[in-house]
Amino acid sequence: MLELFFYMQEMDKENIKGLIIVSTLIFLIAPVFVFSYVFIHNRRKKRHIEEKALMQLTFDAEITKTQLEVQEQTMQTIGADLHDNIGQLLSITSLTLNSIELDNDKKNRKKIDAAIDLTMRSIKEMRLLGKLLQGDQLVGMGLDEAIKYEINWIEKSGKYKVNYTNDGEMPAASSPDKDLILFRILQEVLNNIIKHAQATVISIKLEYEDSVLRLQVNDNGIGFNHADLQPGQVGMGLRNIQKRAGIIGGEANITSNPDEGTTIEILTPYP
Amino acid sequence: MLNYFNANTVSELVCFIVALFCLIKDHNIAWKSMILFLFITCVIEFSGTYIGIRYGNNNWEYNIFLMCESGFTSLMFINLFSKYTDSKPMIIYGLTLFVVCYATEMAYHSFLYYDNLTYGFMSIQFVLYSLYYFYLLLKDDAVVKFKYSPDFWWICGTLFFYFGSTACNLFYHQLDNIQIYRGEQLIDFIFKLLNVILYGCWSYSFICRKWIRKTLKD
Repeated sequence: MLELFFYMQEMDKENIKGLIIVSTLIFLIAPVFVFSYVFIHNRRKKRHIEEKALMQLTFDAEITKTQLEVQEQTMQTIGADLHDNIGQLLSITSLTLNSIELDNDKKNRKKIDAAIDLTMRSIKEMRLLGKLLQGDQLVGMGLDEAIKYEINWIEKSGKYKVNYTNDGEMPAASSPDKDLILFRILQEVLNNIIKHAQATVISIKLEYEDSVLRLQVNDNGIGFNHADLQPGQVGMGLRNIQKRAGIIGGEANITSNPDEGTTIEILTPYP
Repeated sequence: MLNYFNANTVSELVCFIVALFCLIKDHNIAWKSMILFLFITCVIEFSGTYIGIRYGNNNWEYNIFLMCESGFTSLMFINLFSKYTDSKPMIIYGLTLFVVCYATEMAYHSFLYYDNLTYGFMSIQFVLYSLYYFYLLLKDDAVVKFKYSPDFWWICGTLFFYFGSTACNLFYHQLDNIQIYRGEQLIDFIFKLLNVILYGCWSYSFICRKWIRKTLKD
């Protein structure tokens, strides 16, 4: 710097003039680069915020859709149960009561007891249905509780043996949105098993470790070969499972082979 | 009379009028103080021109103005930084160094010589503050609409002015009597250009400030 200072003193005025003009121009142009960088960075920041808002909108829409689907599934279960179970119980009760003969006390006692028993069973079934009607609250009680209720309905059909294990302590803070999506995925998987798998044993495993929640469902059904599925057959079900797992930042792994059952594993950061 | 109106005085006067019109109802003390600062600037500039014509040396007046410039600009920086961080310790430390530099330079030469070193030191301070502001702006998550940001345009003007004058500050003593065009001194020409940029940016920032206040009111 000092050398430059002495050198400057030696320079003639014309050279100094040129040097000052050029360096002033450079000192004026330099801030322009700073401003340009700030502008570009700000624009990127804006785009990032817009993308985040769009993702949030998609997520919210998916949550609403899932809530509706859970409600729809609940209504279907209730409809089927009213028709197949409670309806039948009440029909038999009605028949039993109709068959009562007023002059045969001994026989009537048995029929009345049977009618009382049938009515009590109907009330019990109605109570269970009442609990199921509170679909949203079911998930609100926690994923573990919701899964237990779902299993309860499946086991009632008597066609399936369901094994459920919950390993690892769930975190104190839950994520209701993730719980809802995971529960809907489980419903979708169980629907697929009931409709297509011809399985007799279903195993469900919920595991929490290192901030990762793992939900695994496998059955002993007929399985399928992924490659053999037609494009249309890849199934809204399987695609939906993968899409929904992605929405909550997780992934779905589906493994299946003919006659070897199917295993579906959902891994997601939690809460 | 014509001697009193040049690029410097006209740009300062215009900026003062814009500030008066846009900031008179502003509730922020720092922004409102710009009216007073620009008024002092205009008084110094016009009286400086008068003293220059009448007595030749007006450096003592600009030496006094240096204190004023440092104080008001620092106040604005404290205000602009306050959105992101507490800058008071940094600015007060900077002002202390400025006073030390000013007193030292005053002790070494007469009051009639311009405190070029102190001015250079102050310029570096303001350039660093401006760059620090941009760093905080980049770090912050909020998106700023630069087109309507008074803070951004005020800093822009400040950075252009103080960074642009670096070459003149470094070679101040070599610039005596170097002319650029028909008797126009090179240093005067550069400072006129820098003044037009500075007061142009500041005027626009005051207009933005009024827009924002009006929008919030509506």
